[in-house]
Amino acid sequence: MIQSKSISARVGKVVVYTLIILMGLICLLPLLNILAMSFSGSAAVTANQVGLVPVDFTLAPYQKLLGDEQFWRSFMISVVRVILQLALNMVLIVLMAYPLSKSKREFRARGVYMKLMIFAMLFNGGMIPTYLVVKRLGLLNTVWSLVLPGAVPIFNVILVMNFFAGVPKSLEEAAIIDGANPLQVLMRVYLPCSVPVLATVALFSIVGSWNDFFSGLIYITKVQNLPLMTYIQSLNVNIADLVKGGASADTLASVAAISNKNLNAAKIIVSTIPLLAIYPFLQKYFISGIVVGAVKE
Amino acid sequence: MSKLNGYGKRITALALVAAMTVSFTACGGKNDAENASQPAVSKVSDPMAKYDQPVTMNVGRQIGTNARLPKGDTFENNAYTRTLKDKLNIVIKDAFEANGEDYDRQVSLAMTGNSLPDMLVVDSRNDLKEMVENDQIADLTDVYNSYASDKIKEIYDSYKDVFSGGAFDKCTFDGKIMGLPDVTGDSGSNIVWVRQDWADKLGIKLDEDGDGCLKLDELKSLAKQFVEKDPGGTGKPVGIPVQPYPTNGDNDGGSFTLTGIANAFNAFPKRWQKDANGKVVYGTTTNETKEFLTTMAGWFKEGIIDPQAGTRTWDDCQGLLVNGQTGIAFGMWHMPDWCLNQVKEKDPKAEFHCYAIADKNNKVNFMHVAPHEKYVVVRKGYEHPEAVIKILNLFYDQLKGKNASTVMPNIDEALKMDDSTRPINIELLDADFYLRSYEQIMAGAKDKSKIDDIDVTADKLYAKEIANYNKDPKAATTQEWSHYNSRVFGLGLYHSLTQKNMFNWQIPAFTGTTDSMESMWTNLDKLENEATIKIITGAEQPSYFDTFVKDWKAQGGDQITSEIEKQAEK
Amino acid sequence: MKFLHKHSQETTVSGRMQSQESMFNLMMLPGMLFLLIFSYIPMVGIVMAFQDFSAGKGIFGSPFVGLKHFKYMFSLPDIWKIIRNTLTIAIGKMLITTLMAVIFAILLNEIRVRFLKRTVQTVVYLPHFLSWVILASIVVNLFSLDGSVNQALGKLGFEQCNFLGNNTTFQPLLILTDVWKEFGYASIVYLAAITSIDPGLYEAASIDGASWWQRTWHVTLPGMLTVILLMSVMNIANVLNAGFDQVYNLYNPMVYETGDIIDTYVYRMGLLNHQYSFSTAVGLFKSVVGMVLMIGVNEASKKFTDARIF
Repeated sequence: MIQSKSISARVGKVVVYTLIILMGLICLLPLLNILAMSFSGSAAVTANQVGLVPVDFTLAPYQKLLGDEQFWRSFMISVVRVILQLALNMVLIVLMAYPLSKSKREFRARGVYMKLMIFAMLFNGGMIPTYLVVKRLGLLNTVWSLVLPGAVPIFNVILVMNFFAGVPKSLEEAAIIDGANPLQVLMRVYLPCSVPVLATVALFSIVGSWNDFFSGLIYITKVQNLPLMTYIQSLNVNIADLVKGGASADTLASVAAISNKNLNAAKIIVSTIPLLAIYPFLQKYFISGIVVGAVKE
Repeated sequence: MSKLNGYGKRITALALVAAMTVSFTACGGKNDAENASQPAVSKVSDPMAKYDQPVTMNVGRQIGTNARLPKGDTFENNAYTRTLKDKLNIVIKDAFEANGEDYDRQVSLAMTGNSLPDMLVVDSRNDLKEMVENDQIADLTDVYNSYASDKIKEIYDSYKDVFSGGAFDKCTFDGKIMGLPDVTGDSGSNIVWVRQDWADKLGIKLDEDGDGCLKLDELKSLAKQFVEKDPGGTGKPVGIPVQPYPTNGDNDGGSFTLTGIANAFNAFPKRWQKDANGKVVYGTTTNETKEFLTTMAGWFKEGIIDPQAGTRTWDDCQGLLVNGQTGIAFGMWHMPDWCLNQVKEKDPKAEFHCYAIADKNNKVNFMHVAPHEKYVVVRKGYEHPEAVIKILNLFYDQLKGKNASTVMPNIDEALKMDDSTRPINIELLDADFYLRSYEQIMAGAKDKSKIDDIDVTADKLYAKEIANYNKDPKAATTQEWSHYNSRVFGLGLYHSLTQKNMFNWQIPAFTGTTDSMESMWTNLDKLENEATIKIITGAEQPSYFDTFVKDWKAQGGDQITSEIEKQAEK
Repeated sequence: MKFLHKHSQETTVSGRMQSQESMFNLMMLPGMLFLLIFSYIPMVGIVMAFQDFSAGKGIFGSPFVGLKHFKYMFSLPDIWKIIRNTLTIAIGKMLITTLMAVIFAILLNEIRVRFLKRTVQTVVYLPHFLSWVILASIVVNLFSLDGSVNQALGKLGFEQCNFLGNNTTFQPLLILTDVWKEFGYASIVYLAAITSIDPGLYEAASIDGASWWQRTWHVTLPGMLTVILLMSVMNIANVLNAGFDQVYNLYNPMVYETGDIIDTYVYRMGLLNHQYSFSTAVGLFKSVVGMVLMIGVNEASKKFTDARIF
């Protein structure tokens, strides 16, 4: 690819680089804005004066955040939850995607399973019955109430299933001739071939469980046990909504005292950092396609 | 081996399904508490007697966003709950802790699972009604009568003439009190806060007759000069900022709304009122509202009203104010505490003053508060319903006035926490509380020795702050400044207008919902909100108002009106 | 002898198949168990769509009302306008996000500077993590009358426009800002797809002297086709979900005409009184439509491209 020295190729290269950098910048802007807000004075943020540079620079929001015990407790709960959910998701995804990637001839019940799963993906009974189930199982207020209901991410199963279906049959047959059982085939042949897609669904799982605040609202009924995003959500009360609801003078004053937008911005920054940190780590698995390429003849 | 394992699992699965099905059926069953008899209450020698054995109470706790709990304390264990344990031997356990909508969701879930906590606050009358219909909550009539302190009874009684049917009207079913309502009285009309420092700078004399009111022309010319002369120096001045829902049916009229102006036309958008013939009408459909909207459309054209009205969110409106783009903010008396304080913070020179908007006859029209739809209820079958009344007595009677610090020595510390750290978080204020509160604060601010006489502990603090502010306004903190503004100016205006008898109070003809509202209101509300903002911003001509009224009536408005009339007849 | 041998071989093959299948079933079991408990059992709740559900009476005590809520839904004066808004916004977002994500993935794949590649890839997925409550205020600041977009338009000599209060610009605004938020995150799958393409194919193409366009057209895109199809089929199920959070945080009565979607309407109904039954009915309607479309598209793709998604 280096040898193409024609002018059009060079122009093309410039265009591609420009486009990519532009796209990157456009996506970076909101975060820079929020970062600037998190270091700005509260009144300046309220006054809409903050663009990409902090106004009335202050570290107060971060100091306040550091002193918020519940924030860090919730942070840890979220970390534990993400780890549990990731482990459970990955095991179930892989276990289910493999048989489902087989043809109907090889796995006669496939059609039924598939229909059941599509159905479960599209339909749900809503919040109330799920809550009752979680409650009957005695999971309310435990981290398991956040993890177990989302144990099978059907979309991700289907995604991985499709990648598995693309793994060359010859590899599998070779392993079978060597006497491997399906589980061994899955471990020895399919998993190494599918690192990019596994990294992708792992990312989806992490991002999904880290960002999910709604389960926390329903299944966690004590403030001490809230996962981070639910905790942030519960603090992020819109004064405008309260005013509309005719909140009392005391309530408004008490909310106004913390609904500083700079503090909210700091919370967003801090709660986004783990996701930012995890990405480059997973990224290497789906930027380089070496593994797959080496296996495919 | 693996096969066996799988088989075993399958059996477990089946067992699980069976178990769940059974439990599902169970939760559809009747409340087992049905058979539990109400504890008999007759004469009570000491309504505040401490229990010998600890009484545990599971509560649904409506928490505030900003609890400000001291380190190590929780909602279940803080200065208030410890006082409760100490004084009454009642132990509070939280069945759930949540805020706003999330709290309401937990209440619904508890209702569905038939697992209401022993005591909880219900946020809507519909929920209350449902709980009554399904026999989930206890009749509180007897315990209220025998345990409630005189002070508590006095507070509720003060609403005898304010709400039709009194304080308990909405929560009495078949003559039984099923919930104890949250009550707060009137606190004056919707008012306008004006950047007084700007007006002074531009030499604008406001309210020359000193009655505390602005006429519409005065307001208009003020806004015009603010726009033309840009006293904030931002280069992008805005007249009157308005949020996307410019009329507001709330008790206080909302902030960044045009309710204050509408009332000056004797229009009461979004409220049910009686017309001249005593018939129920919806305020938004009256000719007065048409006149109001037509005038506002004119103001919009002239640039008096923010050209971006309709798309400015509430936050944007506040932003305009803090940024010095506008110096006019409609709202309520307590705005300095949570909105204008940001302006002061950004610009220490900022000063505000507030005015009511008077109509042609120099009267200030406003509507009395509607009863709040917020009630304390007790689960049917709970062994100690009287404990709830005892808690009310403790927190809403004994912790007020002179005795507060004898009952709870650390009350000043406790006051630093949000009210939601109390086991019951409602407000119990008598109908003219704010007038008296103003008088007490002012007396305390003037004369230190009178601070002890103040009823509400928080007001004692305000009196001190105001005294501080008066000593040296320039050295005052923003908090002192805002409490000074909200009490001295905000409540002061309400007080003086009442003294001068300038209010023209309207009584709401109806509050709450009717049957057809449930299915029709969302659509009617949409019609209304669309028409209102479109007429103001000129997207529709004022004549469109008649089309709107016709559509509104045809699409269910008439039906709902007649339902309300029927209810009123009853 | 020969015959016998053949016979025994057949039995071992079918025996192996059988043990393999029971192994497959076993692998499916834990997942299906979770689905049973947390998906299928709660589906009892769907009956709420046919009841006048009240929390006090519960799922088994609430009265049945048949199709009342569905009939009511279609009797709403605005329903077709609302459905049309929902469809326009949802389909617009789907098409453009997919297009942008695919283009981005292909372009990014051309970047040879590792650091740039990694940085940009990380950066574009950032907006996905920001909630619409936050992003909405940024969008409002950009697109209001005195916002930067209008300032730029003014400098270029265009007429200024209140994008958020104008019924012709509101839908495009919703679609484009959503694309901005989501395309980076959506591109992750496509990047994974590109990595799975056999490098040998590229080598063969460049030996044949194929231009960049030709390589992209004949190698990259076909290599991504399954994933693009897969994502489209999955997305199509959401054709009646136009993104509540975004619309709710950006709309106002001036643009109800083009901005009010099913979810915002249902939400406003819920404010008056919890409309569990009605919202379940609406949810069920959306799911049925989604399922029909999904199965339809899957069948069509089987027929025309012989790619099977599920």
